Amino acid sequence: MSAPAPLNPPDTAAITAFLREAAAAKTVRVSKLQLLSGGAIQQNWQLDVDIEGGCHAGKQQWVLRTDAPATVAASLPRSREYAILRYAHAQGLMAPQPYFLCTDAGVIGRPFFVMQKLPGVAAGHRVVRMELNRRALARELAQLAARIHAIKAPQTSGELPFLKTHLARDVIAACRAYLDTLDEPHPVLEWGLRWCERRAPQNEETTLVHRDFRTGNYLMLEGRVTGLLDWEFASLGNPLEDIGWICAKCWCFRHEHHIVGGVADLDDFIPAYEAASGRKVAPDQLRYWQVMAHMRWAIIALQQGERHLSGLEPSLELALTAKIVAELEWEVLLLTDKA
Amino acid sequence: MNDRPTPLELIQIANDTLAREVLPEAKQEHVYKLRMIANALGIAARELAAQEQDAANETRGLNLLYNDFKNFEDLKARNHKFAKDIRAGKFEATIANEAQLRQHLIVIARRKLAAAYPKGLPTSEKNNQ
Repeated sequence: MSAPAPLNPPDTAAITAFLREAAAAKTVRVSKLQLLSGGAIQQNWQLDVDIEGGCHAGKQQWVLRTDAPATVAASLPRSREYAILRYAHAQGLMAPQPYFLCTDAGVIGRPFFVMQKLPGVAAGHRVVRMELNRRALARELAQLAARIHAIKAPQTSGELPFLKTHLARDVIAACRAYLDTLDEPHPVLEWGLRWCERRAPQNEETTLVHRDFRTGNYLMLEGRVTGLLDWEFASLGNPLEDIGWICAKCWCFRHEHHIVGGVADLDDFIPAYEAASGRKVAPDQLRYWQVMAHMRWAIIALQQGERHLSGLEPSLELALTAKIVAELEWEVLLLTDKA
Repeated sequence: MNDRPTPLELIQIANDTLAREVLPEAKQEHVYKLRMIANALGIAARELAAQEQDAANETRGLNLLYNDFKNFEDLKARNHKFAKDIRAGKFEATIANEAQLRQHLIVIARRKLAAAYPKGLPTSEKNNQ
């Protein structure tokens, strides 16, 4: 958990002064600063500015991203997420372009960065209700995942030396380490982790992984993917972790008849991913990473509940997130029954 | 001893009032939060209503898995030991043992689901909620 930080909204005058210097502008006028929906762990603010002078002169629509008052352990600090965004944008991975980073907590009370506002809708409950060409979307998402997973560990070592590696056993160890900090026992989650441990792959490929690659984190505009957001969990790891994550029932927003994020079908998505990535995804591998996805989301849901219980960020939404664990446990038992 | 209505009865009437009288008249910008409040009250009511029966079922299931639980004073302590044993693979000696473990886990997971999200129960069980 992070230390307590002041609640929103950020200080407009402080942001204006920061941007004037960072953008080498003559004048900066903030015309809109509004909290965007989503961002369960970070806060995203729409930041509209009129700039005179400098290389960003004109009307700009940006996003200011900063920590919420309490955060979760796996989430990267903003400076690292900024570096990942810069790298991912340069690699053509549909990440928004980051412009300015402020690590000085004295400016608005916590570190933040300013990035491009990509067009489109991210909200999962809206995306799953859109009129979609599901086959085309499956292909787009598969190709985007394959592009991320084409980046092998050594390629990132220069620009992103801080990236940690999370292979299957590392994920299990991290989940257990968190459970050990809790006062309440979680036998079903222990069962799921033990199931994953007994079936953990012997050899794993290591690539860049987004680790939150799902509906709700890509932007949709006119039926096309326009961006991929929320790189705060990115690391090195098994590429199939991202595939299991987007194919997990818990990320279908109650549209699990389209198990790929509530928007597409496995028969379209998996062959498209195999074709784009050159790797095979066997059904038992997919199920393994679907179980792992539910396990990891259960741990994050408990952490979200803990943010509320800590008193740092009293929130009904966070409190209710902890109650999602019941659904996740049930799904883990159903998935492992097929093994 | 407090007078009735009990905590459960109070939560239930508060939630009914919210659903019948407040939500239909609510401004659009308040609907999401009111639905969250209704959801929280619903979960709390279902957990409270089933509390005693659930604890009894859970204890019975653990007693089937263990013969030596006399030293553990409460359900939480028993579940800590249970969770630790699952991690250590102590129920994997025989297929029968694993099946018994799984059966108990299904019982406790179903109980939690029935409180947190009853719509997620298998269709045959929803009508009993």
